[in-house]
Amino acid sequence: MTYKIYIPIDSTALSLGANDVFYAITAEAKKRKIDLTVIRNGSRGLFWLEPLVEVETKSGRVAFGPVTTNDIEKLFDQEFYLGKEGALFLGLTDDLHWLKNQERLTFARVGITDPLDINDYEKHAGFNGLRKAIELEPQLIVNEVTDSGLRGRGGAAFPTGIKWQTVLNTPSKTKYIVCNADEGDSGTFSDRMIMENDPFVLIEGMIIAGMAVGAEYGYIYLRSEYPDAQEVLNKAINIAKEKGFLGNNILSSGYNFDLEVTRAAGAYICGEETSLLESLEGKRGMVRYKPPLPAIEGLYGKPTAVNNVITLATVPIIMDKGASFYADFGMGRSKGTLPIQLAGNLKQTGLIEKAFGISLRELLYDFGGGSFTGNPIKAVQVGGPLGAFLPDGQFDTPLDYEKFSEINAVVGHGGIVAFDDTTDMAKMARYSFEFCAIESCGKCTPCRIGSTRGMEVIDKIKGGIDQDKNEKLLRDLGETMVNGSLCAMGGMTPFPVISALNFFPKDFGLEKKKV
Amino acid sequence: MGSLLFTIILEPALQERIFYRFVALNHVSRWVLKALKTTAKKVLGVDYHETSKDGVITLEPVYCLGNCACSPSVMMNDKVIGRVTPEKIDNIIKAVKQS
Repeated sequence: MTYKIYIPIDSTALSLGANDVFYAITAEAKKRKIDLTVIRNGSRGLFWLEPLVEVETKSGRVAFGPVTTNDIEKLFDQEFYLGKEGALFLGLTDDLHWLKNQERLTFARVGITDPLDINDYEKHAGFNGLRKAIELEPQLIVNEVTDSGLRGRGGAAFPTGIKWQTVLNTPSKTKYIVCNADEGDSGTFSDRMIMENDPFVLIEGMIIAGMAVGAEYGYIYLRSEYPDAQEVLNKAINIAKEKGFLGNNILSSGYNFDLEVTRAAGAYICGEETSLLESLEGKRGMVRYKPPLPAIEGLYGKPTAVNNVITLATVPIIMDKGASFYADFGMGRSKGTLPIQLAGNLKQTGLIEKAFGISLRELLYDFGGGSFTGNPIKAVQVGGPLGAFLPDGQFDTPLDYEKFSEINAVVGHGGIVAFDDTTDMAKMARYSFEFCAIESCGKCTPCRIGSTRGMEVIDKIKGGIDQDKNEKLLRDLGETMVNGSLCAMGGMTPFPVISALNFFPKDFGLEKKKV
Repeated sequence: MGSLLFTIILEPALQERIFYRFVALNHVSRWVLKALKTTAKKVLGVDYHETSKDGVITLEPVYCLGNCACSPSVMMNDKVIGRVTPEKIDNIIKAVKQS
């Protein structure tokens, strides 16, 4: 009798010792002559419980966690491999509050399957979307994506269908699909999770994108900080090639598509699409002027669809289940689901995929369990280092692109970082400028110079020098950067700064409350 | 001749080093620790882009390792380590120095 157990291979689980747990469990099983089949699955996204070990039982998978190498003997003593209750026992994984209340569409397989087992992928509805897309004319594939309401999940939220339509309409013998996997926003890790834990869904999404717009080659521009993802993607690409999902005449459809992974070199600005294309061409990642749009003149001057990992990984389920299935989730013009990443000062951190419309308060308290330190949550930053800081008074705002835009905030890539009441928001605002100064490409003046001047002005305000004059100057600078910068780097840096100034003037040494 | 070589090859390369964090020109050590400066600096006693006196570890800056749910994190060569403390960094450094 063999017992099936799951130990994650996701790099967050590995960073907390999942490999050591794997070695200890296999060694202990050998010692006790217990026949275990160990599957290295992806992470379920409950990071405060990682390494999370699961055991397959008749009633479903049972979870134990967080497991350390010191727990192994105890776990074997209580016969955990039978799914028996005892230390670290969490019950059925699917019944855990965190997972039960999610709507996992893009992340349907993440944590369930072995990332590099293509048969496991197909058993769990993998390549269903591709098989349906093959039967359709390119225009109909684009229509399906347009009707689903899918918008760019990288942060800009541009309608994916419209972007694809532009590429499709631009006549050219050569076109490209570029996957933006330069996930540099602080507090985000959903792209990494897809690439490490379900790489075939990204490959499938890119093949469909290629068919839709008439591109036969794709690049995944992967950030340098993700070596594990690179290894998994390269293995997955080779497996897909062997099985005939990549290369010439895919599944006898007449379509050709191939792709490769390019590892970036560590510049935040290269997540901006035109700078990414420069970098991919082997140059310094300087932002390009728009127009021309990359959809018309992109990589090497050819029409290029640049899409984020999550956007592309969502396409297969849209093609499989249909546009209206996807569009039924969400609210207003924010259709479908968003993979939300909880990080920072919270008891429970990890990945939540929910339909648009959930409030920050639900996410922070219902899922996050409140702050880790037990202090009140002072502010959250949504959407990476360029997102606004939101105070408690705005925690009831529903997660929706337009509702966030109304309060000068962004949903961005769905990363949420919580700060407790010991945080100095003026220091955070200064750090936003410092980050911009370091990461600016330097092409436009508001971003290159404004970021450094901004730091100096904040120092003056904090130092009590001409506070009224300098506060006005800071607001003027913010306006100049928002309206005068070439791209979102300089154009959004004032968001965290001005929101901190509006909601936490005391931290700047300003007495009066202003909004 | 030397200055021509510098203008054509080295200077642009040095500029790229400033632009791209992961382009390394001066790594003389076997191990590279990527971390936010504050904690790692105290333990190693060096600044960014500097190598420890024994030539074993170089400290490089990094912002986000995609492990924000288990911060703070550091990266030793290609391995990410989550929820680090000064003690944990100290142990990691000791371990690589012995290897």
